[in-house]
Amino acid sequence: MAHVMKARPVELSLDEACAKHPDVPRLVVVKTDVQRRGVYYTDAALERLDPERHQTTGTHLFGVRDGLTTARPESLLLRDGSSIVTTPTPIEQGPYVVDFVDGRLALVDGGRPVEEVEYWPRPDFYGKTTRSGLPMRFVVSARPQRLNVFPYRHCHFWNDDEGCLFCDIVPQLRRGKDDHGVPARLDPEDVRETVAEALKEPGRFVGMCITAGSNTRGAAPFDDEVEYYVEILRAIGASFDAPRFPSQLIGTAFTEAQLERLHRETGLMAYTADVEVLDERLFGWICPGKARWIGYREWKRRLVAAAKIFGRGRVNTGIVAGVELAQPHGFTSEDGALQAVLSEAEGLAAEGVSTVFIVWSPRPASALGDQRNASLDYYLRLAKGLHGLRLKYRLPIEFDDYRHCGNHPDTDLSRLNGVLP
Amino acid sequence: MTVSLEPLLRTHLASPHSARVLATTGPQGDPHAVLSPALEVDEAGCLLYLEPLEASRTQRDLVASIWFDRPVAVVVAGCDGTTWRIRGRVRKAHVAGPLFRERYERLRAERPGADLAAVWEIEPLEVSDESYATLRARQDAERPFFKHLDQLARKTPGRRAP
Repeated sequence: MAHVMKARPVELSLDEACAKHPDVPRLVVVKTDVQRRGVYYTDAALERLDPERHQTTGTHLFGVRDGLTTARPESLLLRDGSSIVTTPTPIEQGPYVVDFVDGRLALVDGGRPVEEVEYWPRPDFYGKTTRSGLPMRFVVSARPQRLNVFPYRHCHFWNDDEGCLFCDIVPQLRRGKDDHGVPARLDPEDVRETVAEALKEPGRFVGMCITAGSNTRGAAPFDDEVEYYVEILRAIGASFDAPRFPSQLIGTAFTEAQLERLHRETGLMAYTADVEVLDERLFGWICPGKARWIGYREWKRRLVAAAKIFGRGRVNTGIVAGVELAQPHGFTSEDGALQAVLSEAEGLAAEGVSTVFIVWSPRPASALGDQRNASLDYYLRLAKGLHGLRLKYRLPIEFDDYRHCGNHPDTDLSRLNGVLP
Repeated sequence: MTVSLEPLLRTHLASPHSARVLATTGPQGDPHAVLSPALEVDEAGCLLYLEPLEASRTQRDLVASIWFDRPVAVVVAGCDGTTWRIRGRVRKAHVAGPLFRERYERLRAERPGADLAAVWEIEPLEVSDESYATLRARQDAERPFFKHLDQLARKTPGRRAP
């Protein structure tokens, strides 16, 4: 799928983007640009990495742009308490540099320190093992305030060569097994034990995210995926007194019967089914497995159905922003792409479903790995647009905000919302 | 430029008998103040403010301050009327890590029902003595036109000079 991109037009610099968007905080602009361009760690920065105090890379579902799996900082914390989920990127591709400057870790661009950062702190449970002998950090991973459970690391769309074109979950699964011994499928008992251990750390976590690859199998398509999520969520729920606990499941777009089962039989509070690209034609090209098994319109219909089950503000969909500009079939202008995406997102918002984005990071093991993502200006306009829709339709996004995820510039902006009804 | 906080001010900041107010402004500039905020001074001389609620107006305002570089004010008053105003820059929010955890555990030990959303680091940029006695003396000395005349009048009026 090699495709030679046209030369990127002259883009706004960080300072120019800040000047053009004074209503977007500089820290959010920095975060977005770092996600867009990636990071490169200097030796001086890596010398400050202490595996006893900091999180190092571990159980990612997805790969990185430089293709390496050596231990590096998991990601970065900014001064405002939000995270940058970083992608290590070869220096020749022009990433931000993480260096040690004047006694602090800093993001550096063009030799100029841009912003101070910290490595993510290592949670207590990372040093422990389950009774089955599995390192707990391979069972559950952590962000600064969130637990991640990635119980199943294969996506069945890949079986028929219909994986999403931006995705590298299966190549990453092979790397994880080969390099770290991370199991492809977790035993719910290991998950139960690890979550119970993680919750012993005071003040660390405010929520958890469960996600895995799609599994088409079962009496009805995806029944096996739902069944496994129910097992995992029940295992997690054993650690809580309350019947429901702050949690987000990122799964396939399930039928009403499957959604009702998840809601009825587990303590799940929020549900996400990532549509990835908000355009029917591009969905068919970029997400061939999702398109064949469910279809674009049905995917959106199921999201709306989910909002009726989990409630307004408890359901969203994620997009891999910028992939709608991938060639040869994507939009040819950022203005056209933005208009189309926001129009589709508004249709969902009106029905109680939020749209959030991650910055597309083209990774070498994905089919679109040789392409480039969009401009900083595009991502800032998209962040404002999606945030504006949530304000217009009064949709809270607390289950996917800077504490519960940290990977969505648009939901960072909700920190100034105040209280929504 | 960080300014240092004098020992007496630090003592009053730490005293439960002092009055303390943290004043902020919201994203649209609307003012807000919180009484008796949990404040301490760290080794570097920065104020640490412990915000208990993620959904509070103060939390939102501090986000606006760190994002858009808006100052905040802390007013500290002792029982004797000594009052300081600290103008500060919101420098950092600690939401995880050793500093946050230590405060969280301490807070929960003192009040088991308590929560902690963030520990905000506020860099003091300016400290002024806002005690009434100090301000009054300064105004009397430097702004003579501000005083009511009855306060200047003789108790017993004298005769007009020839």
